[in-house]
Amino acid sequence: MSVHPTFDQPNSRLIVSLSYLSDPDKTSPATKTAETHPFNHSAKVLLPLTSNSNQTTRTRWEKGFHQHGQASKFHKVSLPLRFFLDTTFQQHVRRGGTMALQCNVRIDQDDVFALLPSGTLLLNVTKPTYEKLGLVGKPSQLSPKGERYQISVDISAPSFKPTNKLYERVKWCFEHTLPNTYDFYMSSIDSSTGALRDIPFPPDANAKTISNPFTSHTEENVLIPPMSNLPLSFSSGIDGAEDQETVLERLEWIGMVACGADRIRATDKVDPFISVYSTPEASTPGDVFIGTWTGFIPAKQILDLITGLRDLIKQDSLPWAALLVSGFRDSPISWRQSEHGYASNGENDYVLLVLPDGRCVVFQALGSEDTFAI
Amino acid sequence: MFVDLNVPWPEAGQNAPELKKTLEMLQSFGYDFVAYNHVVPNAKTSFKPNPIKIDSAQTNTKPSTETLSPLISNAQLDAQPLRQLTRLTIIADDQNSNYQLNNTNPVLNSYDILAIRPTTERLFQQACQTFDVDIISLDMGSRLPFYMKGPTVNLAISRGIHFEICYAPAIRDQTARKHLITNAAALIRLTKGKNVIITSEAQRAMEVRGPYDVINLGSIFSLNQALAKNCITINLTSNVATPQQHDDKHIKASCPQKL
Repeated sequence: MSVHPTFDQPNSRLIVSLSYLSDPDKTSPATKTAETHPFNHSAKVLLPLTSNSNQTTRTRWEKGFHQHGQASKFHKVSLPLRFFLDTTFQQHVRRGGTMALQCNVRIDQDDVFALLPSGTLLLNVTKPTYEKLGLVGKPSQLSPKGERYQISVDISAPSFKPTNKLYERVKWCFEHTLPNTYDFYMSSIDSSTGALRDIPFPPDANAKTISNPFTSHTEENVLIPPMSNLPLSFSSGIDGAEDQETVLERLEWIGMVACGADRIRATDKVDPFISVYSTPEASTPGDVFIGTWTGFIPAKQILDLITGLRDLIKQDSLPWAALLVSGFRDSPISWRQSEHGYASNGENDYVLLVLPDGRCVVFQALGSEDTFAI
Repeated sequence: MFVDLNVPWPEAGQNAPELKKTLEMLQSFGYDFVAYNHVVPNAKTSFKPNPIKIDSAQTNTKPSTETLSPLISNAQLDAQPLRQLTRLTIIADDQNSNYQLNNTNPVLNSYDILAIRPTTERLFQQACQTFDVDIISLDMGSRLPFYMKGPTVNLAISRGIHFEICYAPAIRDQTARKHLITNAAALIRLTKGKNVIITSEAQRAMEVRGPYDVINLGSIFSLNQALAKNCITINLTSNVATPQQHDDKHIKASCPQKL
């Protein structure tokens, strides 16, 4: 124990990787990142408007994205946990593309329940609830030993049906030891059409269908750094501190645009007492189109967006396009099924910087409590 | 469950609207439990009956989720109101008086939590060794008149007593800030963060700090994040516990509906 405070804070992480987005049918690390991140709260696209694009391009993009987002909806519904064991609901789950996340909970204090698209019902519970509940789970790797437990129930397994021992046990628990009703965001997406399936909710579930609203605006006269000559290569990766700096500068700039910061405007003259930020070298003035969806966005929509962005780059000869996706800070998992928690931040966001030659830089930002590793 | 176990109960007639504002502030920060603290200066006079009236209307009901954007998954919208407990703190400065800290005292039993603030070393030792209290609170805003010793503190911990650090006095006064850091760091060094609670003692709404800020404050006392989080979190099986588990503490046996 040192005499002076050491301010030991656990670290957040940023994972930067390079991927090749080839054909839409083949998977690449970039699409895998999007695919394995089921719970997305918002998606933002950034598109630079070059000198030869104008108002009509902007309108076309707006229309295109708006149409794309028309089908993006989800349900908000109050359900008891035993609803997830309902046999008709199980059919939906077995078809794939169904997921649910409890709303208005805090992952570091309350119990969080979620249904993953793979068909696993995840119960991330505190110690008192675990002791009361009666199902077997693993201790959480993030909390101090024995404080939180993670219980996984595979609903989509063919053996999981009435008269099966596990099924009956889970059903008993959901009816006796944990019978409360919770609010969930739920979405069940048909993988071929991308449309939201109707789920037969019980009548007292207070079900609402909500769209993920799409808004767009343009940041005018901002300094845009060149993205084409980034020192990235598949053989050597990003070597050296200077190259890392160059790549991270681009990420910082993307973040500034997304926030609508004033520091990137071409006309900005700020007192160095306030900020010494300067855009990367060789930045040129231009406009950036920003489109945002907010809500409960399934991974399929993100994948469609990625394909859309690649097509747009080809069609409009854009020098780059960026997609920023943020996850729920109270989600029990981040990527794949890695456990996620909330220490002082619960970020599990990622940025895809898509370049015209098919390369894509993937930035994954993880909070300090996260077990995900590449 | 974030908890603030020291919200001073205003003396008769004073500052009731301020208390309401404090409660609103605590609620907006996400605290779940609050204990109103009634401070009694000495035990020579027999204890007056519990003046704390818990009125469920005192806490604002949180806005219903229907009126706000359906997309907010923020804990503030949870419909559960702030749960309120009562606490008595006795300022013990005379070692000869009988504090009647036993189960049979009906006035003491009417409070959920019992705390003592010893002002001399002898009383501190007595509190750690024999008194039947839940919390030992020390006035950390000024130089402690005695040193806390390891064995005494460990004895208190083994008896299940918690030590309290209040942060609002440091917000009010600058010299108190220095003393708070020194005293709190000394306490943490002795206890390694075990059985320590951090509470506000906020007399005004502006003296309340959010739970994550209090966790950061803990790092100044050499508490790491996980330990600091424990200091302001309540598990429903510790200090203020279900009455069945801690029958020998001064927890009202008929308040299970509060927990």
